[in-house]
Amino acid sequence: MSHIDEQRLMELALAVPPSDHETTHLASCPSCAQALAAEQGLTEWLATVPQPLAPADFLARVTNAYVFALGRQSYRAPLLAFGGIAAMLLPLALLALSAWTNTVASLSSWVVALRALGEVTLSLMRTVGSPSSPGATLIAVQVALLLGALGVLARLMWMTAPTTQEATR
Amino acid sequence: MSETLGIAVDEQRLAERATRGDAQAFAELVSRYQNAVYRLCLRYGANEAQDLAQETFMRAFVHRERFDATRPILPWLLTIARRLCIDRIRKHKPVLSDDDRPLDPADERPDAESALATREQLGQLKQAHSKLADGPREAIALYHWEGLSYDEIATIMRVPIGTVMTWLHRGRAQLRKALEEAQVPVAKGTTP
Repeated sequence: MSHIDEQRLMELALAVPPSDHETTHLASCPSCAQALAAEQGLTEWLATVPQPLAPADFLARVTNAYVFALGRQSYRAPLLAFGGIAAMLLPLALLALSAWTNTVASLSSWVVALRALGEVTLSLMRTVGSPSSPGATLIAVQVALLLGALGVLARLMWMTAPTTQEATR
Repeated sequence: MSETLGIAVDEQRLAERATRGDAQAFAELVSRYQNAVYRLCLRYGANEAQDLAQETFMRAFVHRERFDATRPILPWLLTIARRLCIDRIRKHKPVLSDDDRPLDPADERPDAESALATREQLGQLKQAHSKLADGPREAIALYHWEGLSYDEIATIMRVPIGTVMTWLHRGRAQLRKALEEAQVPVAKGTTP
């Protein structure tokens, strides 16, 4: 049998049991036996290396941060829920306003406004459904508000822009 | 096996309690894993290790819904810690290199202190370890000092198991060479 390769010697030193062939070979091959002893020696050496510990005040520090984070979540969740509801009502009110002022709206402006409404509804669902990730929810509400505002802006621009008939007069 | 399962169930209960805002359960989890997380952060960025370790536990708490309760917590925590450390290294280079890092008083066990030669040898081993490339260095630390399996190391380092074994082999060969150059006898039964 040829010599045992280095990676296999390492595995044997890491407590993987040798096969029968390997056991026989190790008994008759001083070179491989010596290499295995060196690998085992290194394993023993590594086990003796003292390891640093976390500072004594670390546990208290992390626990304080956790309690602080819990407190922040407790007041942020209702705030975010309120923000979500407000964000949902805003485009609804503006849609109603635009529908009242214009009996016929262009398709594109309705698409923009409806999309904004969808985003806002989604953000509200996230606020209610996942209070554990207020950061992501906050971003979702902000994005929804932005989309809502863009939708309203587009709607207002459409309302103030002269129609083709008015422009040609 | 049953003991492992018992620990996993215990961990799961603690994690659930911590998720619901039980500070005592959270403290128990931190207490169990703080040293392993702190050590990983220390290996990546000596100066900010404590901040990074704290950030690891807070991230774990914030993203607790991503935790797979069927798996052990430590590899998950170490994965978060490693990502944080790598992000921090990308932003700022660590101020202290591993070579410059002062010896931690906690490292100095009475039995190690008793023999100056042994202390020097251990110091040489630690220095040689700190000079290894990231992969072999972490593979050795996680396997030999944190007691993780190949599979868990592969998950943390995001590499195949074969790469972990190669890193271990390469790192150990380099350590053995460094110890031989320092005339430290490395054979079975020659440990301090």
